Amino acid sequence: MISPTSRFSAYMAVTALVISVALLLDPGALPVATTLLALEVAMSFHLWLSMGAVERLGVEVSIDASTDREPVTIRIRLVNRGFYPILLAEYSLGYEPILRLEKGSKAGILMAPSRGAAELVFVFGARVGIHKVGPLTLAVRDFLGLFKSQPIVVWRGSSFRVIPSTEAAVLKRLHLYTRSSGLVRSRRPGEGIEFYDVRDYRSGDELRRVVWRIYASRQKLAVWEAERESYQAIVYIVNSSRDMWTGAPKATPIEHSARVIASIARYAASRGYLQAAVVVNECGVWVSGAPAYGRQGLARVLETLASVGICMAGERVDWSKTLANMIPLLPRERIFIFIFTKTTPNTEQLLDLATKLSTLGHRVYIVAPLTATYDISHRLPQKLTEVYRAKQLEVATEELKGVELLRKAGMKVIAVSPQLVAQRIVQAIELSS
Amino acid sequence: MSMQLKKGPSQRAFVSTALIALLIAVGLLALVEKGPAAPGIPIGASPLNPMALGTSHLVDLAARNYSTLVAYSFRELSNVDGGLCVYFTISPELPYTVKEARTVISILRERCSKLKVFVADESTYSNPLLQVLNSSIRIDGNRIYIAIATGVKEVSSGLALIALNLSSPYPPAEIIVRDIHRLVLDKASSVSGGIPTGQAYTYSDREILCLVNSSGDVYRCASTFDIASKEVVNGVNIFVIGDGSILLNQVLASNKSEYLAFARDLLSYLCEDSPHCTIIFDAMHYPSISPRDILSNPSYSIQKLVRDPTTLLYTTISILAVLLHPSLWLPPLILGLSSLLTVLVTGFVSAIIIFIFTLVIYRILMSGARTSRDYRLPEQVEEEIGVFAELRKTIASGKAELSKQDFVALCQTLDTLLKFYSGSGLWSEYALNVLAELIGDEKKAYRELQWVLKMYGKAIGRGRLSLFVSWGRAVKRLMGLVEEVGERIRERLGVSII
Repeated sequence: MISPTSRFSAYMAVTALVISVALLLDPGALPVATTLLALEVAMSFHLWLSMGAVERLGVEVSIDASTDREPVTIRIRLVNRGFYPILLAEYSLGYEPILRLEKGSKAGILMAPSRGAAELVFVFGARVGIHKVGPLTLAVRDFLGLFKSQPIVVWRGSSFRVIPSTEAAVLKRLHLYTRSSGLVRSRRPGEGIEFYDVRDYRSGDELRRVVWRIYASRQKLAVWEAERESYQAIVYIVNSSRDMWTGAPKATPIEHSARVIASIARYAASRGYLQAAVVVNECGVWVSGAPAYGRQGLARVLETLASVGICMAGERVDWSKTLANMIPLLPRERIFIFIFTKTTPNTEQLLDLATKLSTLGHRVYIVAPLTATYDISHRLPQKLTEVYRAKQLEVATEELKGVELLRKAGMKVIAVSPQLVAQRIVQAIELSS
Repeated sequence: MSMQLKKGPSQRAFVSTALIALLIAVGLLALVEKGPAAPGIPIGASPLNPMALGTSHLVDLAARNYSTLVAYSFRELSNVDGGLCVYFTISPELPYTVKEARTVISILRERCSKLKVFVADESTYSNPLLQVLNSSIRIDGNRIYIAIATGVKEVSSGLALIALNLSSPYPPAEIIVRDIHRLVLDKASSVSGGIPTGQAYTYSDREILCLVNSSGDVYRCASTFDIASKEVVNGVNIFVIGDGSILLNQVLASNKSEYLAFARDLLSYLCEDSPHCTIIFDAMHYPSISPRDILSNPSYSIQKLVRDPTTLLYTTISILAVLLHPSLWLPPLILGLSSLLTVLVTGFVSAIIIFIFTLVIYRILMSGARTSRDYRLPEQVEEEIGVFAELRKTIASGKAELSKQDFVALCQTLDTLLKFYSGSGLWSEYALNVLAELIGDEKKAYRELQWVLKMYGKAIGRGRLSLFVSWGRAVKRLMGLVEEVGERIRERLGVSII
């Protein structure tokens, strides 16, 4: 639909004046009046043709997204299949407000020649989780700005997933820490599947373990020995509610938690632990499935973390629903459960969840990122900074009170600065092992 | 039972009023462009004059058997397309010029394969036409009178001059076309040159015909004079009669049938009985009285035009037709309106009139158009979310101020920090020791703790001192203490919690 703009009113007022002058004063102005009217008709006709071209636009989209270390590149190619060119179209791209456009322009003017194409490239800073980009809206205008079309959605949008990257430095530190502190002992023989060593036969050894090749060559009985399996299962529960997105992009509690989990999960995968992940926010619960070994477990955890999305609806996280969703997946053996969440506002429900899981015999740790420590940039005038800091401390107090409440209830809470979170978690796992 | 009549669909005219008005305007402009059939009321022997002295009856008579054309201008002559053409000029009121005559003959020669020229004129106005045709025939332009000799008037130089009494200017005549026609002439002129085909004569032997010049002097008398003549020059047949009156409406419409017979015979002779003959009547050499002349000088015009009731009726209708024709009133009307508008718009009111006119045109142009503000498409706003984002918005809007509630909240923060560090809160008996350990200065710790507890009591309404408190400053001071404690805890425990 084409509608005249307020500029059209002014244009027609001038035209009316010229017509009046032509009729009353000087007939010589009549050609000018005719030209003005003809121009208006021409602009309207041009816009009508352009609208037809926009409605027949073909849209080809490619999204290049992997981890939160590489930027997300979105290419939108608008193919004009018609013979009439789109000479002046205004575009605007919608996307989630938490995304940051690093290259490209979210709104501007484009042209699409006849039988040609226009390509828009948008580069976003990658943030962990699932994010929506779109719609792409176009509005066609004429050269004089007399008319414009109603906004036309040419692309409804799409979602992309960004998996958290493992931090090499964190991983290295974890390995160093566990080796140097003796948390991880050397390999030991015992019950298991993996080969450990060959030793001399002792009485009581099973005959099926005898290595007959050695006996044939050396005339000596030797048995095959397996490495003792150090079985451990870990479940990560991640709260991705809105408050967990507090702070500078890429340095929010949720993104930091995701990277920490990714690093720990890679470490745990190398140790052969079982792993699973659960993501919860105001909109629902996402579960990776039953805990899986090694790389499969790691893949499931990363994939689930990539489902971390921001939910603009809903009031609070429903922890009881989380429990209901994950209980069928939990093994009977004792496992480690790490809940990455703020302790407020629904601390009681969180405590209830942790208590129930503990009752089932699992080791539950609540990893509480203190949001005040993540809020490093507030961009406020100097005179307001102190007011802001006072209010910020009030929020921090509430969270600390939550930590205190959980601790009083006997819960293990890891409430430390971001740099130490991974180390503390691994310490908890390996010490318990 | 009540019955409600259904209202039918609104009737709309198939042709809109605006379209009808437009068509009328176009029609009026076309009529103005074409101009009236006659710019006024023709007088004299014009073929357009239906009155007694006109020749419209002759045109009608010719039109019965032949193709006829009344030439108002040379443009009509250009439309002639025939084999045999006969050009009629009867008693022209305006003299031919040589140039005009050349043009007429040139056009007719070009358009017609065979040309005949018929002249019936008692004046010399037509002679340039004959001259251009290289004809030897001339109309003398005199008047033939019947005279009766009354005796010898004078003898001089051996010549006897006869005393004459001019009795009548209407002599009888015989004109040979195919038949011999005996007609009574009007005020006729003698014709010279060519082959005579008609002669005027007297009623009796005692009468004599005399020629009178324009001064009224008799200069020649004889028993007969040639009043018609013909010849062929360069392929053009020329037939000349020295009197146009014998073809006027008044004689053709009279009871005397010989004139009508003469006219028929003449037409038949000139057209050679061919249906492809085109007769062209000259209407260019007659004046017309414009309605403006009639209105400006009615007595003169009526005297000139109105001679009987028929002509009065004709004149009235003609005047009305001319008056009603848009070519008469539309240009002056528009001119008048234009002048009026010019007068109006060049004065003080010009601006107002132009403004009103502009407003009207603007309303017409904008009818049905709904304009809207030309906003650009809404752009995506990038924003932070979470608890601190809301907090920042509140503070930036200026709605947040430091108050005693903030002081109370910060006291709780300090309490939480101390509990986090040692398990003993701000209000425990070990608070001073913990604070002193953290700050490293027992006196300062005591002073600060006392101040905090006193201000906390004031904030929650338990204490009264101090009387005047700036809560903003108090909060800032306490915030400094909290941050110092937090920093010390970070140093001791290695974790940052605020």
